[in-house]
Amino acid sequence: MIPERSSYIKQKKAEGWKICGVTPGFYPKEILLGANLLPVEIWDPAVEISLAYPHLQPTICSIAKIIISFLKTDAANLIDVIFVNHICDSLQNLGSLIHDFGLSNKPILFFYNPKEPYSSSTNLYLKDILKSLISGLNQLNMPVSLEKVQEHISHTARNYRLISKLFEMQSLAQTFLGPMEFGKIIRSFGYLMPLDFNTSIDWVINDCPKDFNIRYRLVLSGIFPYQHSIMEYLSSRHVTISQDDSLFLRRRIPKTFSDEPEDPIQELINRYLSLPPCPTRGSDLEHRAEHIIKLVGESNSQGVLFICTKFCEPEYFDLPYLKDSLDSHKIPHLVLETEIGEPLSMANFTRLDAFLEGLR
Amino acid sequence: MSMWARMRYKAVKDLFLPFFVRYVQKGKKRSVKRPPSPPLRINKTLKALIASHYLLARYAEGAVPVAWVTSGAPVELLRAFGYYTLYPENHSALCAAQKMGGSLCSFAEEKGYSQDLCSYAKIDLGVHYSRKTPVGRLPKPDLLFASNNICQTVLYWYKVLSKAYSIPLILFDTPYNYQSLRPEDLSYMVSQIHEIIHQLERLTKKDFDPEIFSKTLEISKSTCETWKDILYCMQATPAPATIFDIFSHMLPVVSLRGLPVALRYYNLLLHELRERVEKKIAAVPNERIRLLWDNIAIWYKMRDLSNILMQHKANIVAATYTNAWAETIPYMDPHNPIESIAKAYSLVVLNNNLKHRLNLIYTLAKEFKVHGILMHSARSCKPYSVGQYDMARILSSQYNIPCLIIEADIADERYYSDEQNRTRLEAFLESLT
Repeated sequence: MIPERSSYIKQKKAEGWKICGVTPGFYPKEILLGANLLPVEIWDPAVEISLAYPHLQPTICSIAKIIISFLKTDAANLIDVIFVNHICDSLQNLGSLIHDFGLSNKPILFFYNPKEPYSSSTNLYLKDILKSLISGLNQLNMPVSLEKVQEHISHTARNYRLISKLFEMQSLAQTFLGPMEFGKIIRSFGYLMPLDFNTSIDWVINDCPKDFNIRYRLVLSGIFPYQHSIMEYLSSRHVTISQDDSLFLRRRIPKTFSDEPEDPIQELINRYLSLPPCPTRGSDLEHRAEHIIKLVGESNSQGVLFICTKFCEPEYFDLPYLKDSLDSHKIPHLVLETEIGEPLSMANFTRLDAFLEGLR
Repeated sequence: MSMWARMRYKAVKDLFLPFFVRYVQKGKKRSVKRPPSPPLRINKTLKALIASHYLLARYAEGAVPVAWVTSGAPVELLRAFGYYTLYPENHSALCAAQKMGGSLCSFAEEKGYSQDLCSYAKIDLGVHYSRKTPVGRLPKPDLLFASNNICQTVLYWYKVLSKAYSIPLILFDTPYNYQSLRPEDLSYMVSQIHEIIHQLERLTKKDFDPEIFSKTLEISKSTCETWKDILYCMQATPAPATIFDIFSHMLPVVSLRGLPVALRYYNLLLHELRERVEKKIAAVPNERIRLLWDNIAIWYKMRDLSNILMQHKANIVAATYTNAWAETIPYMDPHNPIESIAKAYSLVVLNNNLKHRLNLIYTLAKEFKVHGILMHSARSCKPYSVGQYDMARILSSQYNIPCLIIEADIADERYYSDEQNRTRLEAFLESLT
């Protein structure tokens, strides 16, 4: 039921859509769609990571390396525009590296994620940079239709509702969806048009076969936990993902949103300002801990699994505080350090097994 | 703020400190190996300045508001409200120079902070957990003031400090310049500065005095201009100092920026360097090779690197790092203080695109007549390090300037490979002769 990424991109391209390769983080998806650009997020395409070695130090995260490696492959020819989210130091310089030193001949758009605590200046600034993005797209001969933006705003609003519903069902064991299938659906959030994503989720909610035997419920946190080897392992151990605190998914889903706002730009601003706490936006540690504890309670989860990408500073700095907060609430937790695109190490398997044993 | 603490602070500042400075300047007799060229006379004054800065800091707690500040934050705003400022980055560098970096980092690592985090931050957190510092004691801050114009890491780091000390954190959020400074970025920063002023008014219960602020900005500007003059003394052949001398003299422009003492100090340093240029006193006798340095210093290896370079009659005469406090001075305008500091602080080298840095390196290389470039690829500092591989390739292939990349860390000596770096550096120096 879930269209496979590369065939979906080719199909959309044949339908006249242009493709925008987006680096991880929050971005105004609806504006890109309003310019007839399909945003395809670059998290973990299967590439030879060593292509990045001439450009990046060994101590830089695998996400940055994967992006550079991907841009050096033929698959990158499918992309018409690159969209760089400025969410950390590595991606900041990566954007400049691609732009300034010719790592790609595609046009590049940049989007700064303003930091918390938000104030009236943040509101004004977001308005300015969204307008600037629209004019940047116009200059690339990709005019933005505000009517289309409005239309996609209502589709993404439905995305958000369905994702909430999906997690509610997961926590109540109503979907019986194992992590492998669940992961596939969630990952399609990074490349499907909002309308197509809704269709996929509708299928899960209404017609998905209930054949997964749940033994553990976990909240999944980290940057990009929906990696194949992790999902495969969790499936084999009958773990259900009952809630999510990942940058890939729920940290990009606003708490408040409207379906048919009067002013689409203001709606996008409001959505940004109501995003859940995330270190890439400089969120307060206490708020973030409270948020995760709330997710655990609401989803009746047994613990939290942090999947950390090696060398990811925003995540690493928060962990000791989050772990202490979870300890004080007697919530079990485990941190796994992984490299995206690489299988889970034996040490991580062992640690996960021991963690799950402890949850019994 | 208590009356007793204020009186004690004033007494230490006005009565005790002058004697203390003289005592430190006099110094202890040490049986050190005589360097090949006379050391700078002003080194003793620098030592006294650093010692008195940290000594007075101990008495500032409870007497005046104390702020911990990042090196790229517009400290002039705090000066207008009478804050005593300390720079954790500077303190971490000091710990590293005393070779305490690795052990302090391990205190933070024991508390769950990853080995792969910035060592400046880990040293600072290690000091918090262990209470160990070469300066005796650090005052508890009342406020944290950060700007992410140097990196996003300072924000994550200061968030942790904010919880550890239960104190407010003010952030000056500076969007990165991918191409040029956009009007929307500038107006965002200007309106933030107005908000910061209101926050400081609320915290200190004092009104903002625009006159003090402009005056502070004037002092900052003159200090940075004098700092630039100091750096440009290194254009002379032979150069009157080494980059390691210059690194050591950075404290005033980083930590005391906006205070008259920094300006007075740099006037003395400038005078001495000009005198050395005039008398052709070489920091490296028979200087043959001139180099440029990119990235933060390797604080715990300054002497060793200096010795290797000296043996090869090589001197590092310029650095993008030291230049960072001189580069954006033209934007500082005491008559248009708010907008001008927004520009000056957001256009610093680490908040500017890599093309800008490449051009800067090339310009400095020409201006200082260097034969090669040493790039320190620092595992702690991603904004300074990501892009160096490509820049090194472009500089050597397109501009014909040889480059050597040294993989190391700014403050954690556990990540330094002595043999490997010595061999590579020596081979590089030999290839330049």
